[in-house]
Amino acid sequence: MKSRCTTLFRTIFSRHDCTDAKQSAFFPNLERFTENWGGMRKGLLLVLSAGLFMTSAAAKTKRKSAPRASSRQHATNKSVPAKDAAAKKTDKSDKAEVPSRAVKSKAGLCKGDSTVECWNALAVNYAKQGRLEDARQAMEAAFRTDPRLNALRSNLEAVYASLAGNAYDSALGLKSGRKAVDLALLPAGTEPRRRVARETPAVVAAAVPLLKPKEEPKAALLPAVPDTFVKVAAVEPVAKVKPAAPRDSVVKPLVKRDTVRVAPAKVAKVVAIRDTTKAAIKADTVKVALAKAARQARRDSVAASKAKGKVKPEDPKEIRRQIGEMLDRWAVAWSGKNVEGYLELYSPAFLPSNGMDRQKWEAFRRERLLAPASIEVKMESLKVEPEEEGRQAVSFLQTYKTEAVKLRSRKRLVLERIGGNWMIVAEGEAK
Amino acid sequence: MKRHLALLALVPALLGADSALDIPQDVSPEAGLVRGISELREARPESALGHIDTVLKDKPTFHLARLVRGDLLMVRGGLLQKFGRSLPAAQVDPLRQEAKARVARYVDSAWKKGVPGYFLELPGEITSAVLVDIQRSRLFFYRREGNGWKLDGDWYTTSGRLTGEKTFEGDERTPIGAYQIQIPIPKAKLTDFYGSGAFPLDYPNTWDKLKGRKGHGIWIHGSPTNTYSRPPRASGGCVVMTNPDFEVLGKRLVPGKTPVVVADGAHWLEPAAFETSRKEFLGALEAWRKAWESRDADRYLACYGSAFRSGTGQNLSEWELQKRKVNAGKKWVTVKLSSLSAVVVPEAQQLIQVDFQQDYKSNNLENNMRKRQYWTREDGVWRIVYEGDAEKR
Repeated sequence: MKSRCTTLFRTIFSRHDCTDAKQSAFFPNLERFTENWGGMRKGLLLVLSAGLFMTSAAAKTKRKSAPRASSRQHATNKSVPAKDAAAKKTDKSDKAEVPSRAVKSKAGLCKGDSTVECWNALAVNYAKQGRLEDARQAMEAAFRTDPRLNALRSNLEAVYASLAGNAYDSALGLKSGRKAVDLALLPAGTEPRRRVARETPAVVAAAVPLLKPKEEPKAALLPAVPDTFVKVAAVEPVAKVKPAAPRDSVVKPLVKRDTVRVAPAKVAKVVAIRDTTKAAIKADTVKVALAKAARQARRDSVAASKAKGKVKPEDPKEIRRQIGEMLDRWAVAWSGKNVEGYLELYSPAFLPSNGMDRQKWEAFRRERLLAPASIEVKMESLKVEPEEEGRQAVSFLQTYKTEAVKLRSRKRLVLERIGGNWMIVAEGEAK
Repeated sequence: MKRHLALLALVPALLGADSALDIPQDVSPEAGLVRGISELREARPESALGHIDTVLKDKPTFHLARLVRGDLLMVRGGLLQKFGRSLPAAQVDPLRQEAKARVARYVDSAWKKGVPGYFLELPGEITSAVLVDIQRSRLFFYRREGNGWKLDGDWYTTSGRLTGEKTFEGDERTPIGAYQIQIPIPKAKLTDFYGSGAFPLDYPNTWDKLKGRKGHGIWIHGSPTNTYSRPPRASGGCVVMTNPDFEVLGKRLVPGKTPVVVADGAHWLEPAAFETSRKEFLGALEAWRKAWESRDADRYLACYGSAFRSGTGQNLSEWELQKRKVNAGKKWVTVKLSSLSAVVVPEAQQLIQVDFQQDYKSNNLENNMRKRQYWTREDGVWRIVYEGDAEKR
């Protein structure tokens, strides 16, 4: 997530929060403002990513009910969430689009000064329960409470959309004439920060080192919100829902239940971490903590890259070890009748040897895994041999035992590596 | 004022830099896909999603549209930094190639310029012709209009995994050449893999055999049920279409009649240029016929190229010997050609495949037969490099 826009966004905010000493009077407010934005944006992102795995109908709902990114007019008056939710209901045609009763009933709760916090807290709660649609609606309501937040989000989305357009242009060999993106200036708000918005990000960015010359860039950018971005960034690799649902091909990305559940939990964790540090905020300690965190992060990355350097993935022993591990997972998932865990070890390119189509085969395997009361799978005398294009063939003697049958057969699997994991592309009897 | 002028000067540069899509307005899945991609390019992901969802509702197994949809869902979160972000890398490239080919159709204007440079002459009863360009992954269907041809539909196609000259069975290449549609194989006789049916091509034809090219079973066929379309280079040599496209095309093809030219990078000509090359060749053919009737052996033999082979395997000197001998006994000769077909073969050398009904009469022999010739340019002049009976089909 170190995209240019994130940096741009951070740059704008850093100007808000750290350049004017007089603003210290607003400090608690500003801090809340930006923290919420950071947390909410992160949360929305997670929910949106999780949305990838929703069914077609549910995802359609999202599109229809989400505020239009392309219309970047900013309401000058604060929209009342309750009214908004009610208005939404009128243009709903299918059942899935109606905001759940929970969101509506809570709508009355989030009023006044703490509206943004309130909506966000609601979202955190919903996300924790895996109620992603409710969480999304709560967060979007949060954005709508403040036209400035909404404008920022629209701008960011416009930049994202243009970046996506550029990505497609270059992938499809199309020349792009697009250079400029029109973003909206922030509408007049209640906080005395208007002048900042008129300056271009480049000017702001250039000004930052002058204002805080001695500190590390990261610290200079975010003194008032010390840990949000750092913590979020640290959590991100885990929390991000893997876009590449490994097993199903293009046709139908299935919901990866546990991954989706992890995401909201991480959001909650971020909030918890932030709350504890918030209590201890003093400018100096923050600086120290940040520098420390940065050093630690560097050490971690160095250690990680060193560790990576040591492992030679092409070493046959290492491959054998990886494959052994993978087969263990396969046997465990199979014996444990963990259908998802079992199917996820099959590559998207896997074709059932009997010519059955993939969906039917999956249904068939599901049935076969769930039917017996107990399954015992054992593998002996493993033999790994390289195949073409980096694939590996592994053959072994397999013992399969249920309450009804006991089968011993020599099996052969062809494996390919996808994103560092070995997956099955072919399965059959060994000759 | 100066600034304004500078800005004005920039305008054409910007326009020139942009690959403006010629946005399709029809209701085909491809049109919807291209509209969606165009909206995405214009930074309107919400509208793009609308187009893609419509396509997917109609064709749920359109994998490329699925991928674009996945990408679109990532745009708002700022997660889309490259094409195909929503899929494992290994699966992305074939679909990217498909997207590229499908979208290029709406940027590339070569095919709009005029008539395909291949169908110089066809018998009157043949009113349509097919051009497959494996470089563009596209099949173009033409209808006769005067002496020229008018585009009446074009569709995305899949061809062989590899490119280059097809030489043997299983080399995964689509043959390049001038072919004819054979008797179709009905859906009921095929497995699901071939979709709505198949039209075999007459590969290897006379020229292919002369060149020693092996293999068989090159078909134009449909797609299996689990996928709406296949990537541009995915077949073992066949030309594959989506089932709906195949069904539309299938109704228009006439077995034994419709010519199919398969090119790797097709060319189109301005109508005037097409007419010039057409007349030039027909002139050469007529000169050959007249030379034969004139019984002037030198004039007649000058129409044959140095690399000539007859249908019975004679080389140029053997052919010359025989023709001079026969010619000596002739008091008069008349040759009439009908049902003439002259189709340019997209080979590296300039080559034209000619078929006609030949009505030969002389003082001591009468003979009516179907003939095939191949003509090539030698020293700037069209000459015959092959002449023989048309093969029985």
